[in-house]
Order: sequence, then C-alpha cells, then structure tokens
Amino acid sequence: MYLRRLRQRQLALSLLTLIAFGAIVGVLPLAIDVVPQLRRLDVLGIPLAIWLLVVPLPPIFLILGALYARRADALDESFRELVRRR
Amino acid sequence: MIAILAVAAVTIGTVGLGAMGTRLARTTSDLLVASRAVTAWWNAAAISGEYLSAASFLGIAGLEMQNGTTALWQSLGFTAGYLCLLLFVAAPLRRFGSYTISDFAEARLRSPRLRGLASGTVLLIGGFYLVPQLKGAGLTLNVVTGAPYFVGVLAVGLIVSLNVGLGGMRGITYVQAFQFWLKVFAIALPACLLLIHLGGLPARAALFGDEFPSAGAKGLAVPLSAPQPVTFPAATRYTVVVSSRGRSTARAFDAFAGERTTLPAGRLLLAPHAAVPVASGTTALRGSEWARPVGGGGERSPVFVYSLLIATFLGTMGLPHILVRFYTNPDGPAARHTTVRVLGLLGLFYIFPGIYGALGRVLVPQLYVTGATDTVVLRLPQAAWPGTVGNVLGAITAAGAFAAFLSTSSGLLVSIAGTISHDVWPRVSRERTTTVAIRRLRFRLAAVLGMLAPIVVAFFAQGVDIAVLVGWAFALAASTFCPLFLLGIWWTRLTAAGAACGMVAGAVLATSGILVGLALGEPGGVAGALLAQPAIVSVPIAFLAMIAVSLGSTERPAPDAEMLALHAPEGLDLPDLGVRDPFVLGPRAGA
Repeated sequence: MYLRRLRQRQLALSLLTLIAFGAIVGVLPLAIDVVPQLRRLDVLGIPLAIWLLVVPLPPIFLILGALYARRADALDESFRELVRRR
Repeated sequence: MIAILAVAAVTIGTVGLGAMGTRLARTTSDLLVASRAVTAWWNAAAISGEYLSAASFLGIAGLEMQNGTTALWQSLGFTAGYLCLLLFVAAPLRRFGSYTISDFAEARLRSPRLRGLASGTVLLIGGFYLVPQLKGAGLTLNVVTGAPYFVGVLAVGLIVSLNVGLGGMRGITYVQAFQFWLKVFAIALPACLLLIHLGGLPARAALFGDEFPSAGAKGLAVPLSAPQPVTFPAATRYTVVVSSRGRSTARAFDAFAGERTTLPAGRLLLAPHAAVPVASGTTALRGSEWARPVGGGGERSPVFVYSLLIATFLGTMGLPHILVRFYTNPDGPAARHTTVRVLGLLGLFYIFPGIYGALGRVLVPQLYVTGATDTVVLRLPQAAWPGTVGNVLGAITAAGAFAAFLSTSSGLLVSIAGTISHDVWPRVSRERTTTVAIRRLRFRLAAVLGMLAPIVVAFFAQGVDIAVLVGWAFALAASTFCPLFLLGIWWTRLTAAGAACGMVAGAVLATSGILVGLALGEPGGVAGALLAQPAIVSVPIAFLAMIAVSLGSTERPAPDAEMLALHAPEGLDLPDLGVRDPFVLGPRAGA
C-alpha cells in the first residue's frame, strides 16, 4: 500500500522531468522551422539555430538528470523512514 | 602506414585486454563482486564506451556532411536516450535484478513464451545494429589500407567473433572505460587542432551562404574506381580522363544545372570553384539549406526530425548490450547516479562529430561525388593538413573508429550469442540438461552464427548511410522494448498477452516501414520521411496495443511481488516474495 504511493510519487517525478525535457526539446525543431530569424541571425559567423541545437541542450539534460536523481533518492529515503517508524 | 599501425595496436590491445580480463574475471559473479568496488564515474565511462559506436564516430559527421545539420538531432537523441533510461528504467531494473531483456520479460510477466518473443527481438535489433558497425569497419580498412570493402567487413566480423567466442565475455569495466576516453581523445584532438590550424571554419559561403560545395581555388581531381552516376547541381565544365591500354585520353564536357549522367571509371577533373556533382540518390544542398537544422522535405522535414528524436530517445533503453552494463551498479540509486554521469560524458563526446561534418563539406567535397561521406572523419585530417601532422591525426581518428566498432560489436555479439545459445538452441534441440562444456561450445558456435547474417547484410548495405542504419535499430528498439519496460515497470495491469501483442505490432510496423521505404527507393515527402523513420507511428501503436490487449485479456495480473522488487528502496529487510533472482539461476551460458 505504501509502496504503491511511493511508486506513484516516483512516476509523477519522472513524468514531471519528462515534461520539462519535452517542453524544451519538443518545441525546438518547430521553433527553428517556423521562426526564420533563428536561421538568419548569425552569432560569431554561425546561424543562431545551430548554436541553439548544439550548445545549451546537453547541459540542460545533465541538470535535469541530476535534479531528478536527487529528488528520487529523497523519495526513497522518506519511504525508508516511513517503514522504519512502523 | 601510421594509420595501419594505430588500427592494429587498438585491435590487439582490445582483444588482448579482453582475454586478460576473462582470465581475471572468470565467472559472472566474480565480475559482479569486483564491480562493487567500481565507482560511478568508472561505470559511467564504461557504459558510454560501449555505447559510442560507428554511428557516433563516423555516421553523424557523414550524415551531417550529406544531409546538413539535421544530422545533429541524432547526437542529441543519442544523449537524451539516457535521460529516459534514467527517469523510468535505470533504478527499478537494477533492483529487479534482471540483466537481460529476456530475463526481465520472463520474470516480470511470468511467461516463458514472452521470453521467446523477447529473445527473437533481441536478435533482430542486435543484427540491425551490427550491420552499420561492420560497414564502418569495411570503410575504415578501405581508407587505411586500400583493401576492398568486403575484406574489412569479413576481417572485423571474424575478429569480433573469435574474441567473443574464445571467451572474451566482455571487456571488464576498466577496458570499456578506457575505450571511452580513447574515443573522446581520438575525435576531440584532431578536431581542435584542425580548427586551430585552419583558423576557424573556412568558406562560410558553402556552409551557410548560397553556394554548393565547390572544387576550391585549385580545382579538384577525383579518382573513380567504378562508373559513377551523378547529378550536377549547377552548370559546370568538367574533364574526364580515362586510361585504357596504357594510354589516357581526356575529354571535356559541359554539364547543365540538374544534368544526370554516369561518369566512367578514371579521373574526374573539375575547374576551380566549380560546383561539385553529387552521387545520384543524394541531393546537393546550398549552404543555407545545409545549415538549416530542420525544414524542407523528406529527411529534413519536421516530421522526420520528431520521429528520429522519438526513436533515439526511447530506443536507447531497448539496446541489448547497454542494459547488461547497468548490472555492474551496486544498487538502484547508484544506477541513477551513474546514468547522470553518462549524460555528461556523452554530451562531451558529441560536441565534436559535428565539426568534422562542417569541415568536410569544405575540404573533402570529392566525397560527394562517390557518396562516401561516411568516411569524412577518416579523410579530413590528411586533406586539411597535408603532411606528417595530417597523417598522424588521420591515424588517430582511424584508431578511434576501430575502437568504436570493436567495443560496440563485441558487446552486441555477446548479447546475440548469449540469446542464441541460451534461448534458441534449447528449443531446437529439446534437451534439458547440459554440461558446462557443451554450453560453452554452444556459446562459441553461436558467436560465429550470430555474426553470419549481419556480415551478409553488410555486403549489400554499402550504399546506405551508417547513421540511417543505426536509426532503424533504434526505431525497432523504441517500438518493442520501450513499451515493454515502461508499462512493465510502472503499470500493474500489464499482461503477457498484451506485452506480446504490443511488441509484435511495433516490430512489424517498424520493420515493414523500413523495408517498404527501401523497396520504393526512399520516396520523398511526408510518407517517405515516415517510411525512413517510422518511430513516430510505430511507438504509439505499440503502446496502445499493449494497453488495449492487457485491459481486454481475462488474465488477472497480481504483480505485487514484482512491483516490490522493482520499486522498494534498498536497506529494508523485506521478506522474500518469490521473485526469481537471476543470481540463483546461475552464470549465463559461456560465462
């Protein structure tokens, strides 16, 4: 019973992270396709669209992943506390 | 010459270390015990090392050169796949203790028949993934030694078969971790030095402006070993030199824009700044189109990009050789933290392939003529920096490429051979009790058998881009094992019948899309994009089929024990609820 709640909380956390990820990565191809300024604007001689594709995303993945792992460990720990108290 | 030595050194080193590793870690449990002392960083490097294949090392740069910066989405998806693995699979699967996909399918749904289906799918995905590795090997040996394509395919197929079959179970963690840093070094150092040498990106007009790739200020001579059908993107004057019976004759032609013709074997001479013709079946892109990450038709359309992102994002968890590595994590949280580090390490590696694709467009445009853009990483150093430095850098990238497909195809073949000898063989021969010696022999035979089909397919796949081939393997994994894992881990009501239907539906859709696309000669438009990368259709359908059939079937799942094993945190003294622990099942065949 408690386990079900833990599972649901873990799932909610994963889905939340997934939504954050999806919002960023899901919008990007469409944005680059629809907004021509992203392609025309040059930054240091390279179109902004390429910068957007290459530079910010891997660090964002890393940050999302690290935040998720921390929260997931905390959820595990609070479950352990709960079981020990009973 | 230096390149041959470098490739030989990498091969001998890998095989030798693998053999030593086996002697050190004789049984699976030894390996597991040893792994408790391995830190998350080592583990993460080992996972990344096994993951970075010919597709990452050669394929992305080749596809980028040919198709433009759309190819960079692929490296993004390859990295993001581990985020999905982290969010939904890593920790529960480590706790569950299944370390092959077949084990998971059988134990979670208590169905030996589902195990059979999962094993079949492992073979299919593994085979699909082996083909591009062999293709990369054929290309690399061709560039380095001039040997025909099929020699390289056969040679590496044989080396990997022997290595795996003769007990090189898999390089121990440290070998794979070392391979990762070797690959990062081999791709990063030449890229950085070349950028410094050239003073940044040259010839912006061809990269981002209105120009087609051009023959450069000195013109271009392209040797052709066989007649080559090409398309001229712009009106061009060109000369063809054909030699027969010791005499060479030169003839000049004028091509109009869009002209299709077949160049004879010999040498093609292009005037300075002439637009380079492209191999038929590919499209010449102007700089502005090339630099556009999404937009246009076919494999540049938004539908294709989204489909590719879905395939790579969801497919990573279904690759048979990756999952095994997670077992070397001591517990669930460690699996999580290892995966976070993998995200960082892969992000580091994928900075570099894109640089080769861009430089290749300017410096080795002759690859467009033959369509051999997959070799750009290997050929670029010599072209950009003629002389000793270029040769040394070229040797470094060749060695890195070899490391890439040796490690990946060994890992794949271990999974394939294990599946054949463990799941397929007993069904054929119907024998129940076997001795260790017979099992080991069986594993060795399976290691040879498992390599045969991919070698044959690789002979015919020479014209298909490495990155495209790998994209298919990911599409297949995403439409079969991804729904199995996500629903199996998080949804209590999944039944064996539902899982089977979903996997079959996904596999059939993905495979048929790919085959139909090939048969029709890769048609354009949205339909063509969907056939080339069917994940955006096949993945949702696989999920829906799994859910619908599970809800509809009369089977009543009661997976409390399995759910406890998947989700209960470590450090609680839980009663044994009867979930089968693979430790008890004993070492795997061949281990």
